[in-house]
Amino acid sequence: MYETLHLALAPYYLYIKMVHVPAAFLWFMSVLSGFSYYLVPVMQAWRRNQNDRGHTEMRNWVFERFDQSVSVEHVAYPLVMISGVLLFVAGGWNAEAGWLMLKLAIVVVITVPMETFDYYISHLNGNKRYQRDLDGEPDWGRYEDAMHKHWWFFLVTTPPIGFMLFSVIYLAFTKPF
Amino acid sequence: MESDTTKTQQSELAYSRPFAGTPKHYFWVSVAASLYLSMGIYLFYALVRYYFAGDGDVFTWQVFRYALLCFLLYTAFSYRTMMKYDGAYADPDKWVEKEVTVKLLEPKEHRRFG
Repeated sequence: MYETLHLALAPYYLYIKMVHVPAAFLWFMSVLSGFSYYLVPVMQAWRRNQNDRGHTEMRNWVFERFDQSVSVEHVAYPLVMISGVLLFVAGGWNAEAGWLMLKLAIVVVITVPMETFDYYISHLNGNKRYQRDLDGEPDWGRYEDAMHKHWWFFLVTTPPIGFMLFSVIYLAFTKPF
Repeated sequence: MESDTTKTQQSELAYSRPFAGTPKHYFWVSVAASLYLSMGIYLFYALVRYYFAGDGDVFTWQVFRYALLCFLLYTAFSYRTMMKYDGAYADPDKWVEKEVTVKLLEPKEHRRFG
């Protein structure tokens, strides 16, 4: 079965790679400037003065725009995962490739739970705007809960993304063992 | 718990509650995340290599020590990063606050994907 799939996909290895690598960089990089230069400074300003109306309204607006901007990375992510599986089969890779197994371990352990939760709070029923308008009238208490949850999510997931960015690029490009 | 210092009402657009994160929380969250990452990545890698490549060396100290090193380094890295992004090391003097009146554009309804 694996051999048949490998023979069928092998001629398209470079074409699949042509999708996988740009999609991976789109997933990594598309939120970088919005996060670093808009969201984080605004959240830090709000953290310094959490009762200021202006900071709170700016925080809400920037965070909601950011929720929309992550659509790009959330389209890229399934492309990365699907093309990754196809690359594995097309290249005839197996568990002998230690660098690839370590890369897969890092990707699966970090991104699968993280992205599952991220889709939920950014687009689905955990979205703060959705939570606010759930009963028709705006519920700002529920909105605030969702906002805090999302900020916790960013604080917890920013370090593993940094770790993953360097380790996965290093393993993929140098294939050290 | 509602803060006594919260001035706005829960029904208002500018309603805000103080964020509960503290350095102590960030430390313990970093320890837990580091434990999950170092052990999760090590076990995933070791089990795949053992079952599919027959590599028994993955369960030796020579490989496990990297997971331990990863745990220690990642805990420190995660704690510092959480503190940094939450503004603990930020210099407020780098910013000025300008009072302006603006109209914020908002979509009328929440759409799941932009």
